[in-house]
Amino acid sequence: MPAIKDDALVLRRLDYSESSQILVVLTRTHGLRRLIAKGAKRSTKTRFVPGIDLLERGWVVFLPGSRSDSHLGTLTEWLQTEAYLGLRTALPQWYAAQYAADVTVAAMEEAEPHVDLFDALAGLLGALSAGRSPLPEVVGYQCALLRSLGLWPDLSRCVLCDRVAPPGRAAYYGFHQGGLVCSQCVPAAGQVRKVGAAVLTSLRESDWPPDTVGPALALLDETLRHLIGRGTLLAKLDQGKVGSKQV
Amino acid sequence: MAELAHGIPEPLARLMAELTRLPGVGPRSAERIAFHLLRVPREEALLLADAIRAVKDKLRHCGTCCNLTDEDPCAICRDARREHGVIVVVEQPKDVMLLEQTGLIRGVYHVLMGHIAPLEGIEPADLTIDALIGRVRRGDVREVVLATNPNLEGDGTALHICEVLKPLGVQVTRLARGLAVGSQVEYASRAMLEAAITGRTPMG
Repeated sequence: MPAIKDDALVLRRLDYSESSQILVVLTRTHGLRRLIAKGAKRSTKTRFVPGIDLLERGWVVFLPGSRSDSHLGTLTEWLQTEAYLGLRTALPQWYAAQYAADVTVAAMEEAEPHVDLFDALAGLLGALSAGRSPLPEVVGYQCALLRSLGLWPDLSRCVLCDRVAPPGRAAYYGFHQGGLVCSQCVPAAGQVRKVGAAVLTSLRESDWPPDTVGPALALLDETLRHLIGRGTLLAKLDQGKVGSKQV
Repeated sequence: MAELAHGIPEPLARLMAELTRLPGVGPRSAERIAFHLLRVPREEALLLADAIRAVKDKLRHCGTCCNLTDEDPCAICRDARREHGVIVVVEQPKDVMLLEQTGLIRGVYHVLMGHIAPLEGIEPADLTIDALIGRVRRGDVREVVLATNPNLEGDGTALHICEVLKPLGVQVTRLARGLAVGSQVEYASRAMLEAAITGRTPMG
């Protein structure tokens, strides 16, 4: 199989043996890939100089894996193009970037290209690296992730009975249903949460004033946790404010 | 004597299996080392066994700096000629050995035993940061030099330590970064060049 060249973001990096690493990268046009970088930790190897770090962007050349080796491809070249050094100067941005990497790897299927999501994640890392406030940026990325994967919740009508949700009013959100649930359908919906009118408006209009960004972040994170079936790094972003379940 | 399928005596097979578990040692290397140990005099072979046993039985962490030692406090922490007001913070005990080889560090060390890595579930509480704070709180520390690895996790760990030490009023510095000595600009990454340009120093 011919080698593939693509633009990529490094989302996970695990040590494998003395000198090799296994990377999980999001490529722009070939989706999420697991690659072994043989000799990546060895300073004498020049093809990966100066090493490959987490949350960097670069050009990868890799040989795709086969089914027999669980699709683990082999990285043959790496050229770093952006290190997002600003992430290393502020802890909120540092944690926010890792939150985004974590949910991306957990929510995506391997080898399914999502060009829009790649661009959204690269944009997020660039914004965080430039020192932009992390919470609105992360909410924007959560929206991009859910939309790109076709999992954006229906916020216009009850997902069970199709009744239209009137704008400007609070509503119930069903996590199992992935959208709004009207008050009549709440008993049948299982786990629901009441969402304020302002938060719903923010979600519908993709606008994040300071009073809605925390609740929107928590709501979308809970949606993601339902999808991926485990916890996230949300509490690291801002343990005081956005960890609150008051949405 | 019990033998395995390939006609290898069980003790030899066990030695080879144990050697294979060492980092960087594959089956062929394990076989070569095992036969070497068989060939050398008994006393010489047992020196290795004794050294392994001594490391496992006698080494522990220094109660002050958390470095590996056979005596608590360790030789560096006991050394009155050292500048105890300067603490160099590293991730692993082997980093202490490398820095000591330069002969340039006159201060003492603090070993974190890792770095903060949220994606791997490693939290600040899993490291020895509280012990470092305790050392600084006890006074007479004028500078903390952060010598964590210059990668994402190492820099995040340094940021966290800088934040928690800020209220204590101690000077916090970190090692310089940029181009590696002996390397070539041609092979430097953009990040290395950025760090080198930002951190350039006067010359002449």
